[in-house]
Amino acid sequence: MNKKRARIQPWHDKMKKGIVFTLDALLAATVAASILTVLALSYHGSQYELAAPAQLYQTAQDVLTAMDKQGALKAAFPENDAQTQTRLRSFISNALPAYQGGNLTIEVFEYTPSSSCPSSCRLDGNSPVGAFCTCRRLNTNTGEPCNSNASASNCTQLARAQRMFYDYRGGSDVFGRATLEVWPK
Amino acid sequence: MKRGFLFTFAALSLFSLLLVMAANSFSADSRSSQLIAQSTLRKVSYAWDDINDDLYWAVNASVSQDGTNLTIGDGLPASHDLLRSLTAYGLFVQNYYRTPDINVSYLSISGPEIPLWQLGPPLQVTPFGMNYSYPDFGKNELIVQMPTENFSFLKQVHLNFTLAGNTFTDSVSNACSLWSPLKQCKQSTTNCFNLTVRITDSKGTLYNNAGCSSLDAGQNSNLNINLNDSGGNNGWIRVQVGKTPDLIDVKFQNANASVNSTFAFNSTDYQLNAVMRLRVSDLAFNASKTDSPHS
Repeated sequence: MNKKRARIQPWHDKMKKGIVFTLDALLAATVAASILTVLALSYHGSQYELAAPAQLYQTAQDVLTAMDKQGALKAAFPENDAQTQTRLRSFISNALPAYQGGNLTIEVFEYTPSSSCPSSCRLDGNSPVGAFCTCRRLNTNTGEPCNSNASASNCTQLARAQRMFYDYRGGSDVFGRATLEVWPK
Repeated sequence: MKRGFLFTFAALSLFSLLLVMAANSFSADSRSSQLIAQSTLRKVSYAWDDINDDLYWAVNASVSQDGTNLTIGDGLPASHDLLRSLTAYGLFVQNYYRTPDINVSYLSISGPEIPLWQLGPPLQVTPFGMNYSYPDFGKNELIVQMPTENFSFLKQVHLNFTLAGNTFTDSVSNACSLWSPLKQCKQSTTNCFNLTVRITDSKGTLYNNAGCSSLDAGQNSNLNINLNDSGGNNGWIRVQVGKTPDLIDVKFQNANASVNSTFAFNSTDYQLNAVMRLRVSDLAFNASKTDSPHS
């Protein structure tokens, strides 16, 4: 009879153990939740780091492709620098989302089979079958952070895309190279 | 036992966490690979599209598709040295456009790599097998061919010439009399070719073959129009029709024209291809896009 009584634990002993278990479980759950949170955050962080430049590059290429297919790049050939800058600056500000900045550089080259350039151009490179003259270089610089300070923190995510365009004008093969830089604002 | 239970529980929890970490890490690696592959393919596709877009300009032709109608704008004969333009185009792509991680090559249909200026001029409409071509880039002759067995895919062709600096020598009001021979369609004609020819000279006078536009594609019909240029020199345009597979052959002498050729097919499911292939490769990731340039 005494032996049976000794095996029965009093109610307050059971409660103490329950508290210990509960505290232990809570501690384990907190540790687990913290580790999972850290993992999830680092996972999303790494995805963002990879995805963001790819998205910026795609935006830059899409804008350039739209410009080229609408003839907006080729239209630069007969224009002067100021006309081109005004027109393309407006195109870029309409095409890019408000949270992205962009700078477009246009370079115009003329092919010469004789290795002599028009007076407004300079000889750029010779090949066995002719040379290219660099005739114009302009950009749509708007004075935003990545234009004036390429080391600004948001410029580390800068994406660069390029597109070429061509026309035969005034008896010459004229080429253009458009380079669009896009960055998050 | 209670302590053992606690240890077991803790060990299981930690092991589960380890599994979750491994799964996350694997998933992140796999997603990174996907993103890199997607970016590489995008880069290659954008470059391919860019070069493809300007190739037609380099041969002074423009192409537009509107449903079943395909229109090719051309300047005949060539107003300048198109081989020089193609050479310049190839050099520009190589030296100014291509980035170090990208390679651009031009392949003949049979496979080997060739310089851009060695490409043949024909353009082909697939799947009908219709060729739009010139003997060379001098463009003194325009040749359109269509396999006889595919003739039924072609509903109608409009040839619209606008002459620059040439006038008609003779009256063109009696349009059908300028064809010799003229083989119009009969009830027994198997391949009846509906061809409208409109020629506008530099004074604005119009030739229109409206009264004799249904021609037997199985026989030869020839249109001959004499011209004068501004220097008083004689010239001509000759349009020969048939026999299939030769459908249209246009020749010029002392004449310059911008030509719009509209081909009306009975299907929208076609594509215009240059008879060559353009390959753009990413050297770092061994990814490439190879296809015939098309509209």
